[in-house]
Amino acid sequence: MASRTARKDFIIAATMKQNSVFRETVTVNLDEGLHLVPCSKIVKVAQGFEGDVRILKGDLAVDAKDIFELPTLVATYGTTLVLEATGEGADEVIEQLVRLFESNFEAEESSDS
Amino acid sequence: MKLSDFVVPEAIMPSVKAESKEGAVRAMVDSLKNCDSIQPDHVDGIIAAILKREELGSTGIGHGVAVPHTKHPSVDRLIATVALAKQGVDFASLDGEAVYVLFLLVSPPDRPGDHLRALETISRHLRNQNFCNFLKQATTQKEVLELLQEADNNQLD
Repeated sequence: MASRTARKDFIIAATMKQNSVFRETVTVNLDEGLHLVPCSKIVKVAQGFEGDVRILKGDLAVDAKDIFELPTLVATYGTTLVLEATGEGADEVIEQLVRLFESNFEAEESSDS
Repeated sequence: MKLSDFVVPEAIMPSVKAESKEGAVRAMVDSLKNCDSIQPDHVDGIIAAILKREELGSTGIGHGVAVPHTKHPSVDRLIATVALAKQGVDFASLDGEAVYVLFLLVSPPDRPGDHLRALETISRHLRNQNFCNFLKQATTQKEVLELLQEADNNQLD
């Protein structure tokens, strides 16, 4: 009986972990806005994660794994975006994406976008 | 923003024969020069700026598409051309695949918002499989132009 309860608890915990949603709010600090190179970097990070990763701007939500969707955010300098991931490891992928934004995409090309 | 707001119709290349990224970029910039959208003195500078920009990260974004671009003070409005490479061009794309459809953009340095809106327009249409497939099959400037107009008018959905 005890082992069955433990197994049930394990399944519930695992299910919760899979369904966990993590969100963080970030601001675009690139003078040129979120153009193709930073979009590519986002896709690269997001594609390394099995669950869903979305980026929201107001009511608009795009798949962070799709390079053709990200530019449709038209995220200019100063735009506030919400990063959202679901699934196991969601916290880690959000952390990596936040780091990208905070490092200004590793201070990528400041003037030659 | 519509494709017709920034694509120069006369500069569209339905069949560009280029064996390299540099060759494709040069052909497209030359095409913009040939229809007076770029001044001859600035051709080499624009090509160099686009290729320098490519070194920071390929604009070959996958699915056979590339969007080489740069800012340049010699243009006073956003301009672009479209080229189709039937044989495919090695663009060091993110997915490692050759590029068949190219959109080349040159924008004024002080208008980053225009550049992002152009990217949004191009990306939005390239998500439409009909647009991509028809574009790859087009063989004349007129056919490409008509496709761009149909995309602008949402007639390909």
